[in-house]
Amino acid sequence: MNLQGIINSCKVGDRKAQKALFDKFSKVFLRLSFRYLNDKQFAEDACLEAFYLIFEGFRKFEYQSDSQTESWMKRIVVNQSLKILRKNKTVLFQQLPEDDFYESNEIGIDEELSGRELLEMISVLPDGYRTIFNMYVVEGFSHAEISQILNISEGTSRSQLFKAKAYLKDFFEKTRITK
Amino acid sequence: MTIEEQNIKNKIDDLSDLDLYLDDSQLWGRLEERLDEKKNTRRNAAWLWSMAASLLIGGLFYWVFIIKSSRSENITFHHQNIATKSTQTKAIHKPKDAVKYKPIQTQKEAQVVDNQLSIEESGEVLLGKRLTYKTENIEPKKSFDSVLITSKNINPTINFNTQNVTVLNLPIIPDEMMKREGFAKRLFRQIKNFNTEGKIDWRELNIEPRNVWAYLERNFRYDTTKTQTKKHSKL
Repeated sequence: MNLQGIINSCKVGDRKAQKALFDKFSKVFLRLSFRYLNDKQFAEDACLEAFYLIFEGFRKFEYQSDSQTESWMKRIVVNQSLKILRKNKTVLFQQLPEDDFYESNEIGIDEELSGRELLEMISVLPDGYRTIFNMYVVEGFSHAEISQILNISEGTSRSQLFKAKAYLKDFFEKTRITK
Repeated sequence: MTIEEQNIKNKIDDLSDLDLYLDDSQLWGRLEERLDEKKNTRRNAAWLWSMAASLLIGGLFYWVFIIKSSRSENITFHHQNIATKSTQTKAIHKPKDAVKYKPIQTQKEAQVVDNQLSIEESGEVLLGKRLTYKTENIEPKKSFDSVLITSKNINPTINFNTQNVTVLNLPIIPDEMMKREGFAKRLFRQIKNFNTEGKIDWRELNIEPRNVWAYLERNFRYDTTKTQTKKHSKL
């Protein structure tokens, strides 16, 4: 069954279709929420809530394309992850003035570094940095979108990304020296 | 997005060994439980709504068919302080929903004996704006010839399982009570004999009273006299 068929069946509460959708996206969503939350249990909770909201949201959802559906679902997962993150952290982002300008900086990551090693590196980032880095670099959100989702200024988003990259660069250099 | 950022994205997207760490086998069970819970909540809500709707309909039915029909049997007596001077004929209102009287008993059973009403009568009587007549078709449960109820035990609302009862709600005029009692006495007599002396045409009013209740200032009279008309005699 294609994604559109699954969604149509989910709209009428077909349990088999719901299971099919879960099997198709559960791993992707778990990975996604884990990248934000850095905690297995929290990631599962976020996914559970996200799937529940997705099934509920299908009642009003209008299918256009597979990619549109996927990004809609991913957005729900990200929002749920951020919700849990906010619940456990009082301050995520340090608000900075709008006129601060941060130039694009390179981390200087070795190209031979595996995805797992990269993920471990990202997981050491403070929550605020990690969130912006994930949203911008991994998920591909723009700063405008990030500012809208997180209710922060675009300047803050840029500064957090700049600092995240600087942190990773420093961390990468330290580990390279240790090795 | 820079080349380096794109490279990071691709490597993380292709990451699959993380799936071994993140186990989703129990997650579906939890999710299914949650979905069932919601389904049950919805079902319960639907049940509650349907129950509430049936109760409402039942209540409405009860009110319309039971309460409303029994309400017509309730006779309410109101004190009326506003009085106007008028003739007897003008003061009587013809009820809209007057029921045609169908007599069962035609015998004269009793007469009101009232020693208290020894008052001079006047050709002109004082009546309130509302001299209410109500004609129904139930026999009174209690049958007694004459009842005198003092003002101490008169309830503002007295329920009677009665039909074919005529209520004369006479207004209170402190200085004119003697005249009014005289009028009531005369009215009772006229009803008993069905002789209205040309002043009240019962048939015209579509009323053929059998039992008469009259509320005066300090007493309450009930006359079980069955009127006997010419029409009744033929039967």
